[in-house]
Amino acid sequence: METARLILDPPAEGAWNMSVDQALLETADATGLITLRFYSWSEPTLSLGYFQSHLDRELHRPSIGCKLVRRRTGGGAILHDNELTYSLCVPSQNRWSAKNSELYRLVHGCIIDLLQSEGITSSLYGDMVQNDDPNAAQNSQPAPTVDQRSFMCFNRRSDGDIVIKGRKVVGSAQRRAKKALLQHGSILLGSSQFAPDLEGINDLQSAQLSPARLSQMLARRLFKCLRIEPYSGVMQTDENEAAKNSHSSQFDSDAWNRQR
Amino acid sequence: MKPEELLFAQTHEWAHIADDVATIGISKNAVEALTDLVYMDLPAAGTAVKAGESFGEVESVKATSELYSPVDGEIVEVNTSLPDNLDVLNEDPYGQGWIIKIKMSNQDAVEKLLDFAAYEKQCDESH
Repeated sequence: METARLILDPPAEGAWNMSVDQALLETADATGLITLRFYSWSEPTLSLGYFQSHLDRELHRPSIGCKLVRRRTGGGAILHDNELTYSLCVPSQNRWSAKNSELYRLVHGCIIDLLQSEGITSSLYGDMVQNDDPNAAQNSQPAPTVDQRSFMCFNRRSDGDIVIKGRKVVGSAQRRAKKALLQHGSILLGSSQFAPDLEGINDLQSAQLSPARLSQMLARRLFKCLRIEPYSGVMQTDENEAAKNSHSSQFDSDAWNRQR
Repeated sequence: MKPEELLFAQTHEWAHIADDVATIGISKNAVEALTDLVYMDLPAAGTAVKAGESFGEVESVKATSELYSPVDGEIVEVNTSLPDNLDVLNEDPYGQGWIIKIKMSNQDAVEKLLDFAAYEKQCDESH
């Protein structure tokens, strides 16, 4: 059976988190090693999608005092506060194969199943729209207007997003390299004073999911879905060095974060 | 241009070679896989490129991918209107959807490129 490394990281600053994901992607690209990582952020941080303009953060007043980092993945901005972030690096010989998109459905399907086992009903946005899911009809409050160009990721919707009562609670994005891809995503657990219009899983379902418990349960379920034998691991010395380099030269620099 | 007149990289870029200038684009297969393109980032003319290294990036809904140069040389022309008209890639990937032109410093990498039949075979095998 194929094996994969599981990394459960303590909270860290945003630029370091992005540097680690980049280092793990480079390892997958060079060696084919699969790594699943869970992490959180040591202070509330706004991550910009790769192509977003940093000037647009002015449009989101509640997060104006938060630290900022630019991701290497696309999509909208995310306020990382009361949430859990995952990253999954896997080998992929064809970066534009339809198989890569299936990874969204697989990971998000595992999250939906896991939430269901905790008594929390959620669905893919595409299924909700197609089936006129009662999950949407239960909505006691109108969801924010869905705008695909919205600055914030959680105010956008695409078919693969996970929603509860019409509100997006999980979004993911991919960075595709030559021989591997990085998929990372945010699982929104609760609201934040820095993004007060967004509600998380615990708010919407009166649940008490913690990042630590969720990451343990999700790791088990994901590896089972992927039919991969996990082992607990940490970053290797060369990965740590690569992360340090990209931290100083890229993710922690104004040149990177203000490039657009 | 017809795809049969082009050479292809395993990473799905095509090259049309005319003397020492290579016109570069991305294949119809790649464009079709990249549904809902939203952004494209291209380099400036004058940028040096190496075969197999990134020269630009595209974002489709939920995925950002790099574009890789099939040859060595210097970018001499960029299709600067393309990022604002990404539909052109769908409509004419082997013509108006060209991305950059490279003045090649050598032809070493050209020998490693695939003809259309070999490229199609690779695509069939990777799906």
